[in-house]
Amino acid sequence: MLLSLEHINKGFGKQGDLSYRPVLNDLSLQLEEGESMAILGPSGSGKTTLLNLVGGLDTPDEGRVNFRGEDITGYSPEEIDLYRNRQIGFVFQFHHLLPQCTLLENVLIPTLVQSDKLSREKSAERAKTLMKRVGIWEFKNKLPGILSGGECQRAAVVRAMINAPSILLADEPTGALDSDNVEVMADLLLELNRSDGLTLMVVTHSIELARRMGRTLEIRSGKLQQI
Amino acid sequence: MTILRFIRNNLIFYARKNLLLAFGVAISGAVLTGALVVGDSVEYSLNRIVEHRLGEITHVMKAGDRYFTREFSERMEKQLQIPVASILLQEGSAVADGGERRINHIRVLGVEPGFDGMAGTSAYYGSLSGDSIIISRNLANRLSVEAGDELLLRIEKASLIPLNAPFVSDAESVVTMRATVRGVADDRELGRFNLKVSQTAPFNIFISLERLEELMDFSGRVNVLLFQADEQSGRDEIREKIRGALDEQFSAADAGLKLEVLEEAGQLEVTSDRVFIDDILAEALFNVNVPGELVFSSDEIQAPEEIQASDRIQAPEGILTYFVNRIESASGAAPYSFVSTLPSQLLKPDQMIINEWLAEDLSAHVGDTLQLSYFVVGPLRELTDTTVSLLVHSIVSMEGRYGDPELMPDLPGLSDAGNCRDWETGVPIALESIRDKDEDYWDQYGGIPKAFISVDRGEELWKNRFGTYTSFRYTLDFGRADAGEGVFMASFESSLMSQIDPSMLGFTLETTRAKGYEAAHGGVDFSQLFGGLSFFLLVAGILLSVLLFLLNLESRGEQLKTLVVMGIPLKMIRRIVLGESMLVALVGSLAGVLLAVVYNKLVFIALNGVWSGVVRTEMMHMDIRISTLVTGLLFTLLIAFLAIWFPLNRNLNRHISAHKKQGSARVELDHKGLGLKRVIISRRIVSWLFIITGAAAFGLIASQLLGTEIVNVRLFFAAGGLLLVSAVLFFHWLLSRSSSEKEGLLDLQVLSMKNARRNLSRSMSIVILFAIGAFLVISTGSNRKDLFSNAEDASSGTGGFLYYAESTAPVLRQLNDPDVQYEYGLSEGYSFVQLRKADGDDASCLNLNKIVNPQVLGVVPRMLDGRFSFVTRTSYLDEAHPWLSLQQDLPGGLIPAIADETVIKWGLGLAVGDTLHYTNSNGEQMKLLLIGGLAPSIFQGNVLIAEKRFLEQFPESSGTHVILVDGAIADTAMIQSELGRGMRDLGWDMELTALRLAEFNSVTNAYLSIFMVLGALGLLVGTFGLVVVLWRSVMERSREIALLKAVGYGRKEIRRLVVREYMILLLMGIGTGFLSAVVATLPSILNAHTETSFRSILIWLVVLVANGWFWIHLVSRSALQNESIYTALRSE
Repeated sequence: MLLSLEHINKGFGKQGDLSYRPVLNDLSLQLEEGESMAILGPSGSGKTTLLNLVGGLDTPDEGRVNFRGEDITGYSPEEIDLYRNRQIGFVFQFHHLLPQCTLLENVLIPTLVQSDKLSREKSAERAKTLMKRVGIWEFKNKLPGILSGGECQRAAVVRAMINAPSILLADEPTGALDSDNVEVMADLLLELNRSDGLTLMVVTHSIELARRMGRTLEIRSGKLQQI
Repeated sequence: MTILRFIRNNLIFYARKNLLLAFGVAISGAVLTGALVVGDSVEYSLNRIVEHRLGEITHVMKAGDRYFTREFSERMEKQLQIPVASILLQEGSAVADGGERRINHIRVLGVEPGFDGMAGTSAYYGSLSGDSIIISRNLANRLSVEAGDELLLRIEKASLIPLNAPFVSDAESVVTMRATVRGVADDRELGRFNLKVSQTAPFNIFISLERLEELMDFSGRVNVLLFQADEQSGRDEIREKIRGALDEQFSAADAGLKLEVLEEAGQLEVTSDRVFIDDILAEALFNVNVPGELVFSSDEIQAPEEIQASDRIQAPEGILTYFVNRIESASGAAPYSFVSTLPSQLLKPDQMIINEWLAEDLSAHVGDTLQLSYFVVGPLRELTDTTVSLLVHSIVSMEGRYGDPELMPDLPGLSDAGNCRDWETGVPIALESIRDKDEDYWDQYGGIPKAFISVDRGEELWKNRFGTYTSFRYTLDFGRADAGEGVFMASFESSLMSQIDPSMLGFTLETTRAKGYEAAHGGVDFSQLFGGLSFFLLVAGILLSVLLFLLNLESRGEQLKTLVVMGIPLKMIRRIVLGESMLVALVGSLAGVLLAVVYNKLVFIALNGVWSGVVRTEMMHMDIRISTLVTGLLFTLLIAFLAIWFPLNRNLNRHISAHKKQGSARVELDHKGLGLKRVIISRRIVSWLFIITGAAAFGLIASQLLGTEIVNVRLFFAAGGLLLVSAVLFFHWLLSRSSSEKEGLLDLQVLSMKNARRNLSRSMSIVILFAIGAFLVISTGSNRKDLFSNAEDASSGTGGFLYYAESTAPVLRQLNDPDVQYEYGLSEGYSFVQLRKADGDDASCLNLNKIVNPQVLGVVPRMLDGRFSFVTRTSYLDEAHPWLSLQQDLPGGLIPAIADETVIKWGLGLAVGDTLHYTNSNGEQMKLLLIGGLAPSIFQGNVLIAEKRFLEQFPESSGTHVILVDGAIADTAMIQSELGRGMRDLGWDMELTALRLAEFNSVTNAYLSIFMVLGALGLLVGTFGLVVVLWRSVMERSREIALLKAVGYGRKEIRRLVVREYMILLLMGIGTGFLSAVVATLPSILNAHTETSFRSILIWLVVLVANGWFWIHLVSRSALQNESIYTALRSE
């Protein structure tokens, strides 16, 4: 089992106060290695919160988040940073590329923590392979500001993949793309899932994208339901 | 990808924003480094002035009010094997163009060729002869004269005898000469020669020593010795060497003593050049011990038959011979006679011996009672005619001791007069009472005393502060001396001098050069001063840096969050941001150092020009030291680091709080920014702090207004400061109120307020910048001294006096005496307070050096009762009559003293209650306890003690040099004319007290001007911050503005919205500063004699608001003209 969430409760505001708003309610989930999963749900249902819990950006009020059998909620800040850097890849609706860095540099930003030259060279080689694979190698020295949204989003995917993570968490990855690029992005993610055995967890409003995933779940009343 | 590469990308991509940050840092760096460079430069300039005023001179020996013999100088040079030059230093005045231009308080220096060595010149001063003189450049400029022109000089006449000693004539205290200017001495010729610690050049006139001696009929004596020692071998060693030579070479003649063998009497007589022998010397003369075979014999006085042999005296014997007005019997009176003393063993206190001549003249017999009338001379020659009755013990023939003309002291004008009618005694002589027989006596017997009393009674009647005895006698038996008279005299003098410490007679050795450097080093710290004066500019620079850094950080909030999401550890993110910002700060700091040089240049142009009132010299030069620039650079970097580190930590931590704490907060991966609008300090804490500081401020004000009669200016300033903090906290509380709280209907006003609240850090930065700026500028502006207000008020700094006068030659008489006034041609209707002066260094704010020996003034306390105001006091100072406290006796030999508070604090570096150690004319330490501090007054630069104490410490003091004139303003012209004419020969220099005070106040005002200019620059920086924030806000809110446009707002309304938002912040800041400033300056405002300029306060208020209003309008108009703002939503 790659990832399991056990009886997760999560809300916002102070528990016991009137202002407390529960989001996830006794939610449990299991995710196998190489699986692809889509999570649907209306706005405010807790989709992003779920991703943040898995990515170690947030902690549950109750419950466990187990990665390869280890509860990450007990990790120290340094362990969480390492977990996110090595095991998790994030892709958002907006690409969040740094405008001051070239495409290649943006892709390599997660490797900043690598201190040895060999690792950095390996990362550069991997960046080249991935960028060629997604068709953006020719733009490696361009700044994001002059590229299209689709090209930038592909670069964001490469950036998420640069450290060969175990899980790719995508939060509305096609939300800001036109229909052509939506298709390209979906293909890219599934291709990575199939060929690299990358585990995918995609939060989306797009039924089309969800249908292409191996499993589709919906959050309702703080709980996951199989569709 | 490496961190360095990442940082490089950031630096290039955000170059404009980074440059702005660098600019903020550069301002702080320029101000900080500039202040350090100003300090260095002032110290360097003062050190250069030391070199210019001393030339090659390292040590100086002064004779106080006495004189060295020229031979002493030669002996010193011979023993020490270093150049020694002797000068006769007197004060004088110079008149040019037939009286058109006149300067008093000129130093007239009689120099010999050796002075060239000290000046580093060759045959420049040595070639002076006759009536040719060399004058200093500043004097030439002031009198508009050059080589070849003529000057009329009046020079204080040197006198061996203290001018206020009894029976000394003051008829010729000044000599006059017409001199030709042979040259004008510049700095390289030691034209700036000055032994006093001061950066201000004195007016100097150099004349040949021979000519000066000839003019004053005063030869072979000098009062200053200059030494040129090589200090390589150690300062202390050299000092000890010179000190040792002084002790060895100091002779009886240098101490003013004259040793003479009276062949006829077989006695050695010791007399003094000063007529009365100082008590210190008298003690030594009593204790002199002659070794070897030379011994004193017993008394040889032919005693009257009635005196038993056993009553005969033992030598040595102190003799006091006094000039009496009248010896009167029942049948007649003999005028003006000398009366001398005999050992007390010979006579009882109520007895006298008279000579045959007097007995016959008065028909007196043994057993008769005679009246002896004489003058007791007061401190200012006030004469008290005193009479005692004495019984005639015996009548003696004029033989031996009773017919000894040597008993009469050598009084110029008296002892050398041809006849009685030529006497010039310093006391009034009723010539009509002098009979022919008196003239005959004078012709036949000279000043042989007509009567004798016991020495104990003589002491009781005639002892004065100049001494007790007029001569000492030792009866000798040369028959027993194998070596004879010559060896005896040498041995006697050696024994005598071994008991005399020259310093006890006022002879001092000073390490003048070293002290000059010390004074320059320890003087006004301009680094600190300018650091303080530039405080707000520095704060403004720092605040601007923080503001710009925060803006940069905010604009890159999304990027930082992306890094976090990608697992880049917080430490690394912090390192990246810090590294990048510190590189920017380094550029800013380097630019700041360069700017500091420019800033310094500008400050020095101002100090040598418009602000010259502060430094009182044109000798200010820049001194750029690499070490100082590096120090400035490092300090600037440190400040920048702190200005970056704290906001960075605070904001990054807040951003990552959920991640770090694993708590319940969440990371918002949305567009809400870094969360800067959150308030770290909870509103509750802020509100409590606001209440506490506000209550403390009002408590202080109330306690001052209701609880005490004495207003404490500092407490009001503290109250103002507290109020400022309280108001800032209040606005913080107000702006941090949740916008969801009920505020009524939404209108432009409410919307502006809500907008002002949305970014608390930015808004509060603007409020704080303008609050501090307004507070400082307004409170400083309102503290400027009105130079001439209330001058006639007795409680003001003038003391209500009309004129402050100083005379070159001492005023020896009591000017309030109608007879004296008549003599000087002064009319009635104005009066005088005369003060004695012990020369010292100027401790006023006009002197930048550190002063340890200020000028001490002696005053009769009751003369100042009810005048001036005290700002600081000790328990020793009487509330009702503070001046009278100077008369009190304090334990431990402390002498109560009063000075201007500014002198105590800045000039002396002390506080009221401290003790000032000072060397009196006997070389002893006197301890002046500073019991009270005056509000700025005409006494600035001086320390005042009671005249009685003054005369105890400086018994040789002759006359007064400082005179306060109390008269009606309407009589100003008449008083000036009369005193100018009557006192001209004394080198009379007087100025209106209001003008004198204004000169001191102008220094304070100059400092305040600097403070205000730098404060105004700080406000400009604040304004720049406002502009940047406003511009950035408009740009950041383009979508919101576009939305407003989309829902129907016109550009005017949108601009009004933005202008209102920032005007609210501006008015909050300026209002806070204004109210706090008013509270801080409340004492001036409440004072009936306020010097506060309401007009200037209002002008500043209007200027501040107008400046802010102008920039807000300009920037908002300009920013809102950008079309892209209104199209920000089109892509959506």
